[in-house]
Formats: sequence, C-alpha cells, structure tokens
Amino acid sequence: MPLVYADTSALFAFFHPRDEFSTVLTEAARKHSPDFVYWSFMRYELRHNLRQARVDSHGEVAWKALRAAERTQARLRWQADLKCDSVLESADELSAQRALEFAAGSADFLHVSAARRLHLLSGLDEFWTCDAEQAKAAKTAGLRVRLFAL
Amino acid sequence: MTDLTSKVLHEKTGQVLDRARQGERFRILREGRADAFLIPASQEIDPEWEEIMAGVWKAQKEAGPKRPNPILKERKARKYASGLR
Repeated sequence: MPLVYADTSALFAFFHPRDEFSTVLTEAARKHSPDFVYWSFMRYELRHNLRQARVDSHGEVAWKALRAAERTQARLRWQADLKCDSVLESADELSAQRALEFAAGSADFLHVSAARRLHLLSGLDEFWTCDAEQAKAAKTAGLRVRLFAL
Repeated sequence: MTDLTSKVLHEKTGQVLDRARQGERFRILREGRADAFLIPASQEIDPEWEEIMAGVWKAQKEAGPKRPNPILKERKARKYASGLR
C-alpha cells in the first residue's frame, strides 16, 4: 500500500462524511488504498477538529472511524521519527527560506517539513492536500503532490 | 514496530522469527522503502479501509448539504501575511 502524507485538511475530509471534499477524498482512497502518515501534531489537529464536529450523527460517525483507524498499526501509520521539536526546527528553516514565496501559513510549513523529512528518511509516495497554497509549498519541497479541488 | 532491512531479515531469519513469536512487529525495508510487515501469528491483521470507513461511506451517500472544510477555513483566517502583500 502506498504511504501518503495527507495533511489535516485532507484527513478531516476523508473522515467526515459531510465535508465539502469528502467525496473526492473517498474516491482517491478507494482507488489507491493508501496508508496515511500519522504523528503527534497531525493527531492533535485532526482530533481537535473532529471533536468540534461531534455535534451530530455525522460527527459521531467520523469520530468512531478515526478511533478505529488509530487502533491499527498500518492504516494510520505512526511515525516515531517525527518528533515535534525537530520538525519545528525544520519548519522554521523552511520558513526562513520560503516564507515570502507562498501564502501558506505556519501549520502548512509544519506539514510540508514533516513530509519532506519522511521522504528523505524512508520514502513517501504522495502528499495529499485540499489547500492550494500548501500544495505549492509541498511541490517546491520536492514532494509528489495531489491537490483535491471541488 | 522495528525497522529491518531485507538483508538482515535474510541473514537472521531465525532470530527475527523468535522475536516475532515473543510479540515484536517488524517493518521490512528494501532500498530504504517499507515493502512489508512481519507480525506475530497470534496478532490480528489490520482491517482494510472498507471495514473501518463503512459508516462514513454510508453516510456520504445520504442526501444533505456539504460543509466547508474547517482546517482550510482556519488557515485562511490565519494567513495575515498574504493579505499584506
């Protein structure tokens, strides 16, 4: 199965059935059967947003699916190599080099830095996002990018 | 999960299987890329996405309005710098 770094915009859309990108993410996942990179910042950002979406049955369905995926070893593949401190250092370096090139925000640079590090360490098949600015930054970092559009 | 190269697996198959029997899980790397997992026979294999996402994919098919992606919404709101350029 390909190893994909889906940023939180993409993972949220994958898990929440009412998200505007939900259908396109599902189509891609059914086609490619990826395992997704998972690490502490992404877990926090994704859980936070899904917790806030637990206001109806769709939010509950999304939360239940996330927790089931977290119990696996491979579908959400925990990356022990991605330590917050070192990824923050890398993101700061990337920001120093490229902050004025992209309108991408601080969290975007963090995701790109994490994905780039993994790509260099053990290989990464693709970077998935629903955010056009993040996609530009990821491409510049040398990642193979899939941008989801409506 | 312990990373292991295919070369080490080849050279130390018996030792690796002994460790797996005791519960250790391995990710097998070839040319630096993860190609396979080796897990104890006593442990279950992870379910596929179809099983995990059954409820989500069923709910997707129900009629109803879509909602803006909250992460994109948050990011747009935080991109102060882009508005200044």
